[in-house]
Amino acid sequence: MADVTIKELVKSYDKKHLILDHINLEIKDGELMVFVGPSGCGKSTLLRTIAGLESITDGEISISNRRVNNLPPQQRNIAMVFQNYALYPHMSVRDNMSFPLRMQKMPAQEITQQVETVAEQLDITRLLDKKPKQLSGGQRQRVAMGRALVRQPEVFLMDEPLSNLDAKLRVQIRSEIATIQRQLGVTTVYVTHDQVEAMTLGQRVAVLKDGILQQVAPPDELYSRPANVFVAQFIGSPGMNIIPCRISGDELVLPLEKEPVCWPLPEEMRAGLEHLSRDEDIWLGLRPEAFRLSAQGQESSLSLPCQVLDAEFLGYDTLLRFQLTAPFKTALNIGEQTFTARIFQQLNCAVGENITLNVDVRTACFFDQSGTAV
Amino acid sequence: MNNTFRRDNRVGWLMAAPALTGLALFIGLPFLLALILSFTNLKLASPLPLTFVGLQHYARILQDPVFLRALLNNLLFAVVVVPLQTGCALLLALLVNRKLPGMVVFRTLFFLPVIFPFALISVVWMLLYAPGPNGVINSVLELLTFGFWQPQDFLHNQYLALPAIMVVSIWQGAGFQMIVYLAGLQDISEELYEAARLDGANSWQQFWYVTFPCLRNTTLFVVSVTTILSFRLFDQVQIMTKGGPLNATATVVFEAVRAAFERQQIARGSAMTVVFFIIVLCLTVFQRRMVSEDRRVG
Ligand SMILES: Nc1ncnc2c1ncn2[C@@H]1O[C@H](COP(=O)(O)OP(=O)(O)OP(=O)(O)O)[C@@H](O)[C@H]1O
Ligand SMILES: [Mg+2]
Repeated sequence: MADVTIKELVKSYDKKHLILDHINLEIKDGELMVFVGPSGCGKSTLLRTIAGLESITDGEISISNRRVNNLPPQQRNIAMVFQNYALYPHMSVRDNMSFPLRMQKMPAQEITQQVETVAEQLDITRLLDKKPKQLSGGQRQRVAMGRALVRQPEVFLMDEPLSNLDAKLRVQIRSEIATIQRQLGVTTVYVTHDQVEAMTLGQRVAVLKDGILQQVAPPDELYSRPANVFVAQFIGSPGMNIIPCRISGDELVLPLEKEPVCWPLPEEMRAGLEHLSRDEDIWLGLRPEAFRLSAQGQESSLSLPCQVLDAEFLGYDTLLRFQLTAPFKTALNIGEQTFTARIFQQLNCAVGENITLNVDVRTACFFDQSGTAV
Repeated sequence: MNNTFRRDNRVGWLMAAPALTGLALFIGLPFLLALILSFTNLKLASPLPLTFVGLQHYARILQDPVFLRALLNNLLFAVVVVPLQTGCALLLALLVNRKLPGMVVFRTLFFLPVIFPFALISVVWMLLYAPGPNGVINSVLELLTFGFWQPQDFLHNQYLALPAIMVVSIWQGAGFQMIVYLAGLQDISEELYEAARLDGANSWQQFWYVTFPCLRNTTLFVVSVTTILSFRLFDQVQIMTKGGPLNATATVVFEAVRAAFERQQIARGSAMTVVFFIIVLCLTVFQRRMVSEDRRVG
């Protein structure tokens, strides 16, 4: 078992454009860390530098306090599950799983025993004598995990291991991975571009964008206290709604021209916002769940007039896409920007209809002009 | 449904027609003629009437020491050239498959001998093999052995003539097999090597456990084509040694040509080509068997 420490890691292919930009990250012993971010943000590259498949331009990577910058992958005692599984096509499942042990010159008897134990754990005993081509995608995925697990690596890396599977199987194997990881307690790094996968699987999640680490936090913190606008909008489906606002004393002000709308802030929220000056333009972040459909005649000061663009009924809840209407629309200078609310109640409104939504500011987040959380 | 199927079939045949006609006209028909002629006593400028003689020619050529020598030469040639040429081709392919600048130049250089006409190559090599201490190869060997090498007349020495031809053939043929291997190498996914490295395999183990098995079908193809080409050996012999000395470089095709066109024994020559055809057929069937087996299991 091991922890992984990454210090000031820089990766660049052309010495100009940084693919990974001064990454600092500590992965604890036995932790399941997920790297998430949009396509091309450098998640795979970061994973591959840990594996030693990619050289690093600057910085330091250590595993169990051992600096591994210049160690080849053979000497890092790391196992990896590839997106396309990378099973050796000419070898049977048994031989595939034995391979890393044979490379370690383990006695044949021990190899057989270890392979069978892991095969049982993963429920692939009956596949042991088949060739990879004879397996389904899900079975191949399991074999790839088996090959990584038999050698009891210090660190276990997975690069989008579920992306070639259908939605149902993905959910199933996702929870199996979580279970196995907990049982074995092996330090694991999991790469995905799917934020749902990241949130359900990760003990901690690292969000990357353009090679820059945005935030590292447990899923609940990532959701409730995103470090910046990017994380707020990337995490959650749909992401956070961002509206311009100001803070004035103990009130939240939507700066309408004629008559600003003031919402009193709950006591517990005021503390962190005191340092903001009166006229500073900031951003208000509201999760889709922060909206309620207000009953007729129950409009309070915390409500927004809006126009329904469409409503997606998802069974338990409904996703309501809407625009703000006058006077908010022009005054806030938000143009045609659309927002999404998640409504947990029976909804019968037509597209284009004007309704009023109440806002629960208790879960709101605030970001300064640069997009950083305040 | 049935109708469309039949129409599709017809279109298919139509498209294949030009190639099929060519095949039938230039390969099927001549072979059929050779097969029929091999059972007759046809001999150009012979006063005897044409009759069927059954398997007589086959019985005779299989007892003819020169033809048997030719068969043996072909076999020797195959046994030496196939592994050596395949090995060289694989080695060259591995060398030029690296992602270094200038590799295209090397690929082209190694491939060049393939596109030269054999007449040219033979002339060049005959100069290289020139007898006496001034011949290029003789003087190089003398230099390398610090003067111990006695100058040889390679192409007229009954022990050196066949090896000399083998060397030329390998030099000329390896470039083509290299390209085939290069295609095979580039088909192997980079991820397999990465997985092998993480599994702890060193370079040699990566070659032995990943590269080589993944090239199985390529190797089968290369080996069987090289074997067939070894049995077809003719140009080199015709130009460089004329089958000599003492039949040391006679080959099946060379003998067939000599019988038919030097001694006018058309029927006898035909019988030899039929024997040649049967050998090639066996090799091809064997290769196809091996490849399809891999498809089924792999
Ligand atoms: N060998 C390479 N040479 C040059 N640039 C590269 C190379 N490999 C990756 N990149 C660049 O590095 C960046 C990050 O790539 P990476 O594969 O890490 O993205 P990713 O986050 O894994 O994306 P995805 O979700 O699509 O897999 C990309 O902009 C890519 O163009
Ligand atoms: Mg990737």
